[in-house]
Amino acid sequence: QDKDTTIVNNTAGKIDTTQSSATTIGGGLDFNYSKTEKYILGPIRIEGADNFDPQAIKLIAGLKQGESITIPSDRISNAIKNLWNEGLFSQVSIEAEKEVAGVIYLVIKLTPRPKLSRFRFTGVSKREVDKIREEVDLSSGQTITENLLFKTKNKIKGYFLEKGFNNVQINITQVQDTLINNSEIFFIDIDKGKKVKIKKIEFDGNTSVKPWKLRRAMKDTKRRSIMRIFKRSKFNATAYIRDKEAVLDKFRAVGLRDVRFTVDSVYKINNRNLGIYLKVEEGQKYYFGDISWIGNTKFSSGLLDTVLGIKYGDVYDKPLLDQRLHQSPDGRDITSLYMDRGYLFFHLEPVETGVKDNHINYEMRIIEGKEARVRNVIIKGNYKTNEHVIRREIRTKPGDLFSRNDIIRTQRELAQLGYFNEQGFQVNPIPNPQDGTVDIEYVVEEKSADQIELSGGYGAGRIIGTLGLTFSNFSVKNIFKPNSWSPLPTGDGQRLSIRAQTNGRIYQGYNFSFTEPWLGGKKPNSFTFYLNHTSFSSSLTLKKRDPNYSGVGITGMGVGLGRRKKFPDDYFSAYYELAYQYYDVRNYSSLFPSFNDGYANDISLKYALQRNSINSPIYPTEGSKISFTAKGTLPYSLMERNKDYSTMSAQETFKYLEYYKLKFTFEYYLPLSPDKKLVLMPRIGFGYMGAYNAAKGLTPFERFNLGGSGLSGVNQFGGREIIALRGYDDNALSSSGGDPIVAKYTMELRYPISLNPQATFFVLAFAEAGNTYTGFKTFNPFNVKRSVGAGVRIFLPMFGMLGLDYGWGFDKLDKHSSGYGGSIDQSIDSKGFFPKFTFTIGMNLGEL
Amino acid sequence: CNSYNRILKSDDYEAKFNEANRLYDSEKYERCVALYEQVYQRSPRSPQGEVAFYRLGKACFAVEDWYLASYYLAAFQTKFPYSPKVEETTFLAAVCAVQNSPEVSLDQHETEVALNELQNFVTRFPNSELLDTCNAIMDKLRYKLETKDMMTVRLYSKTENYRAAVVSGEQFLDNYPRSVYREEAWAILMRNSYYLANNSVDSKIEERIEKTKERFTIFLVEFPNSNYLREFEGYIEKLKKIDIPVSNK
Repeated sequence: QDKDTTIVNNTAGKIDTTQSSATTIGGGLDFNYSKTEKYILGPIRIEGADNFDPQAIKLIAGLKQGESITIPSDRISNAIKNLWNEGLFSQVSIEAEKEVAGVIYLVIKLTPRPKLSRFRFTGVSKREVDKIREEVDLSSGQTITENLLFKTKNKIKGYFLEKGFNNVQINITQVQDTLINNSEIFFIDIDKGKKVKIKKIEFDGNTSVKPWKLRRAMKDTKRRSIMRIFKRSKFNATAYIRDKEAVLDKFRAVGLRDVRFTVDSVYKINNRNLGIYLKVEEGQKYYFGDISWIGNTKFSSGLLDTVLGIKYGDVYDKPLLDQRLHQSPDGRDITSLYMDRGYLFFHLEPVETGVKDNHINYEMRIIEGKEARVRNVIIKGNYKTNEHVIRREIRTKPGDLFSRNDIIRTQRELAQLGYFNEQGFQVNPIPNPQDGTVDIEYVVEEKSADQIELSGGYGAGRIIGTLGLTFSNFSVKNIFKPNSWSPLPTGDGQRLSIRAQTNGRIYQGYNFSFTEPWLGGKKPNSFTFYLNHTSFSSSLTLKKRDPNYSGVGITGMGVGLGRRKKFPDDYFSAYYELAYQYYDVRNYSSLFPSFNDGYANDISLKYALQRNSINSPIYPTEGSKISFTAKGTLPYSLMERNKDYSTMSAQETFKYLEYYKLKFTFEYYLPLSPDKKLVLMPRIGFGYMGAYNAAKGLTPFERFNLGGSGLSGVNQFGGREIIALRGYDDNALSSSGGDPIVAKYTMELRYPISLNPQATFFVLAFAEAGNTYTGFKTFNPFNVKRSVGAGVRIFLPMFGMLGLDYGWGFDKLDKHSSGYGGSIDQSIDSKGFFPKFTFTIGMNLGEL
Repeated sequence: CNSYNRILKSDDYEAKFNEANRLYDSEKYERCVALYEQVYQRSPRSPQGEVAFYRLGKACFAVEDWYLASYYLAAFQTKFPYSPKVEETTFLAAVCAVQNSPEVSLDQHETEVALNELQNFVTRFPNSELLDTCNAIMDKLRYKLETKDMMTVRLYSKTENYRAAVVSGEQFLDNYPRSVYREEAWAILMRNSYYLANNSVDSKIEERIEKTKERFTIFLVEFPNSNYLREFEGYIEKLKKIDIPVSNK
């Protein structure tokens, strides 16, 4: 010990005493600290750090052999500081061993801190250990410091406090690990004690608000009770502070703005129970007094009074006042009034000018500021979608007056494009007060808008396979640009969908469709082109050439043009479609009883008018959708009169189909809960198909078929329009060939479990009723078949919407129904109901 | 392959370094990365570590992994500020950013990053031989941003948002005094200015006509021989014929 513990023989000998306990330079050599001298650094020796790379230590110290060094100087103290800062050593010192002809030999002496080799938990279950391991970030090889111990204990304590274990005891025993040099094992013993619950919450002094209302206001501080299933009773200090504030707010809402707690006590009843006692002093009741406006030039004080909706003598309610002044969920507030008309720099300050007889007078000081106009619209975050696709949808355009409402609507409409994450939107107005303009920055977050449908199923005794691809953000233009293939060319907002479904010879279906939302790029007129082919056969073995072949083949194509309308309002859109369909029916009577052999041509024109103001495509919470559709062929029979259809064969009669079809649907989304999660959706729909010529009769195709899942009825399938009615069998309510009139009413109550865009999941309860009718004479909108049930929907971006419902049908079917007298009708007769599972794919259950 | 794996798993860092150098020299960049990473992590501040880190960046650059390469190359100058390679790595890091710059129609964040990095390089190495290259690349990137802004002007004009086209056109002319698109921007501005005046409500028509005439005069000064002159003169003639409502006067 004689050489190592050097005694510095100079008063200024200690160089660095801030952090380390022994940082000296000396080593038996004398240095004159009043006079510096230059040396050459000789080899540097390192002591006491066998587990460290000596080279690295020299580098950290910043000392290199052969360098010239002035001693004393801050080189040495810096070297010590650097080593110390690594946090690996509990002692650091640098000593001079000897000096030979101007060369100085230094020794770096280090005492490494022990390291953590392993850690064990005792006293808690394995499951809890796993969770605690995640909480505390201990890892082997960590350097042990006091702070590490303290932090670990605190984290474990915090973890258990969160769970309501207020009496947790933690004891960390450090044991030398003999296997690894200079390291320790932690044995962490946890005694979590009994769970502490809140037995009593007592209020005293409250006369204006009932105790149960106050207890309900405490969101996270609840009494223990057998009925308490969803929220456990536990005491959390931060939540308690928040909840106390919520209690006071209850009093403030009824004009008691001086309310305060005179006693606030949390006491221990026994080891397992806490009690809370809160004594309230309500103070006096206040009312709104006179409200005067100052600084308003754009709007009259009378108008502002009306918007504010608070009169002299109303019970004083600060939150209500704030809401009406700044941001009200229904858009009725003073700030919106200004913000939607360009007054971005608008500022409002409510000032209390005096209290008279408990009536508080207000002076609303308004600084209107300049009208701000939009200067630049900046779009960020589009790494896939081309900018013009986004920019053309944005309502805030350069030169426009700033409007908060326009921004909100733009945000909603961009979300509806389906290319962006709804939660990831950001809109940042960047004001430039010097010239009264504002830049608006939209930040989007791209998501995959592609869907792949690859499914296998079992139907009609055979395996049926489907392969479908939908690309919502396709780009034809980029097909020849290899860089933009990811996995397909994207970015122009076009929609391409290809789908094939087959189970071999019995059923085959192919679909292709392409949509360009802005044809020509000038106006939002969409263009659609589609091709499809379906064929089904009742026989496995027979080929089409065979005279005994029995089956139907339907080939169709069409072009459509969609227009957004400005009138009556800009939620309206119109769609025109010209379509051609060719039916090839061979010995097939089960689908079309009046037309079992031959071919038919269907050239039709369709017009659809829609008003859509729903706020989200996946889980709408507000808005409505009304649509009216008219579709028809030319009235050939009126052009060529004097034909006797009674003598004609079915083939001749239906060579060119003629019909007209009208449909009307309305759906509405009504949020029932304040957070707008619970949603009620009523929907009604009617459909009617008629013939121009009674003698020619109704066409065998295009009729309505009601009942079941409507699974195959996302579109038209096999020349029929298939509409779901849950709780009944597929097609059970209609005649086997379909009916010309349909009515359907639906009521759904929805609640989301997860609104995560990666997997939206909601549950629903439904009540619906519907029927189809053979003609006007039998039409009775109240003769409907009812059902109720519940179900789930899950939306996965890759697969679209999937759903499963369980429904009960209640009503006896009509005589014309194909399900009449069958399994449904009989079980309804005997049991009074008919239960059924329904599986759905897609957003809607049929078009109605 | 076997010897490579053996070296990869061994503790012989000398061998790792030598093998990595051999692979690097024979342009097997993908394989040397793992070895260099180990060498660097073992002794980050040694001369070997410096070579390893430098070559990590270069290897990633060679295999066109721009994001990773830009990470290593950009970090090199902070980790080894006195290395003679700093000039090269700083430049290459900027080149990586340039490579990450996407098509004009997409978010140009990476382009701005690239411009910044190149600007830093120019400031830091004002005597570099690469200066001209840098300036050329920067011109190209700026042209890209300029084109993007021009596309915005074109879009507003195409979708018949007259006022938006006028405002964004004026912004463009302000922001890019030497753009190749100037004449086109003027053309869009003049056309939309005319449409805006022509379709104006009574209360604003006079102001807008005056503004269009004023713009035409400025345009004449800048492009006295423009091909658009006849078109614009036609607009001015038509605007002169418009009767300004009496209530306005």
